[in-house]
Amino acid sequence: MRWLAATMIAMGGLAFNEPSKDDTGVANEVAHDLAQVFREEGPGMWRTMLAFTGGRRDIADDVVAEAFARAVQHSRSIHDPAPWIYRVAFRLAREELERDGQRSPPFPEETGDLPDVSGLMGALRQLSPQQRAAIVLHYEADLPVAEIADRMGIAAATVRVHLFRGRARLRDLLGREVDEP
Amino acid sequence: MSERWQQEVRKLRDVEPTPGIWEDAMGRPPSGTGDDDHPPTRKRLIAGALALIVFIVAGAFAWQAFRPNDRLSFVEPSVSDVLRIRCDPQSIEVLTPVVAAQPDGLHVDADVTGLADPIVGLKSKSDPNSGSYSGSDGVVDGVFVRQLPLGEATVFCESGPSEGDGPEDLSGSFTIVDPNGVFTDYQLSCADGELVGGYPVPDGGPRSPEEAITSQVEGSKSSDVIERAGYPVLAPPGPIYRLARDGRIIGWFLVPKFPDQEGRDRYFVAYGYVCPGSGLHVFIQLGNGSDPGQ
Repeated sequence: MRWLAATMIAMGGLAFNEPSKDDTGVANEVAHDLAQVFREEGPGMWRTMLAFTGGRRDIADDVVAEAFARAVQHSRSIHDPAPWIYRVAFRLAREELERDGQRSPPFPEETGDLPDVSGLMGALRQLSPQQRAAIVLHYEADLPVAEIADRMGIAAATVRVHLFRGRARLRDLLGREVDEP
Repeated sequence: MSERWQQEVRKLRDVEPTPGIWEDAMGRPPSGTGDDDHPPTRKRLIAGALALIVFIVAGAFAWQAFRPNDRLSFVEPSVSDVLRIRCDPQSIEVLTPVVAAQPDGLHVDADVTGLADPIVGLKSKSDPNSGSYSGSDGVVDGVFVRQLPLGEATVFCESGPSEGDGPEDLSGSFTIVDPNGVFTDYQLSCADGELVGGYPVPDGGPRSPEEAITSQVEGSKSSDVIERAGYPVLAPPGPIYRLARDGRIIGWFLVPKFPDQEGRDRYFVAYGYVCPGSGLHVFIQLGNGSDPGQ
């Protein structure tokens, strides 16, 4: 039974060990990688959340920060950070909107610093949150459908339906014709 | 040329995010469940005790299975009719790693505990577009059916945020096999298939998958054979059609349905793969413009 005792000691050691310096180094390295992800994806994610919430800058700020904070916390188990962080941010934003008791909140006063997109935000608020997100990810962030599906946590075919319906609604609301140069 | 609404959407690029979001993220305390209130030492004691129990039970099973003179021998992993998984905030367990395709697809029985607003996702390794998520149709856990191609695939669970428990990116592997011969293969005869795709058609659109294929897939020849493939019974995400030329499969397409404004079923070629040089592509007329898919 000596092997059994040795194995139990080894298992106990694994369970009780404190994080080593190497662990800390790995954690710092992961945080550094996430900083890079934030630089590359953060602004686009924030704009997507702004659109998803119908112009709620306060929610967009909070859910993007919280999603990245959770990514740092769970960095060891995340294989592909960007889609993961997007999915968390979407869920947090959805929950915030539900907590407010309204899917399409009134245009907030604090977005007075977004005059150029006030018309767009007004139109986006007449779409469903899923439609808003799909439209912005496709036409603002230039993401292909498969990546949008990955980030929203829905099927690619569903994304295409959201794009179709959102596009038709925006065409009605904002117009089809192109300004002359 | 883009339309006015597209130009409006692109104005979002000029909107700058609020400064300090990254610093805010780095300054936030770790989120956790009530379990995190336990002192670390207590958590480790619990983990150690659980590990010991698991070890002893596993040892007992191993002794029963492999004791001397026992007639039991190694067996191939058994094929199950249902993919059974068990997820909690720390782990995912694939209880049936080899699963038989059923006529309507892959049957999944997910037992999710401790995760708020969970999502169970499935993805085939051979088709990056095959991502299918349990929450998208309201089924969070329990039994649901999805259609994935045969071969290796991954399943993953994610938790929601409402309990303050950070989602884990937990995934496990499994293999879909076809011992009952229900699946019609649609794997391309060539390597490096090209992704093509379209969108629902305004003003109605095709009323059957066959009509969608005929009207939206360009470059096919009269001698091409177009037929249903994949699973014989319809289930999400929709039927697959394969296109064969001279006995070789040179394209396949997913053709889901969607309700039009009157609630009638319409179909569109959502996406598919075609052999390079086949001349096949998806082309859909969109109002005064067109979209060649991607």
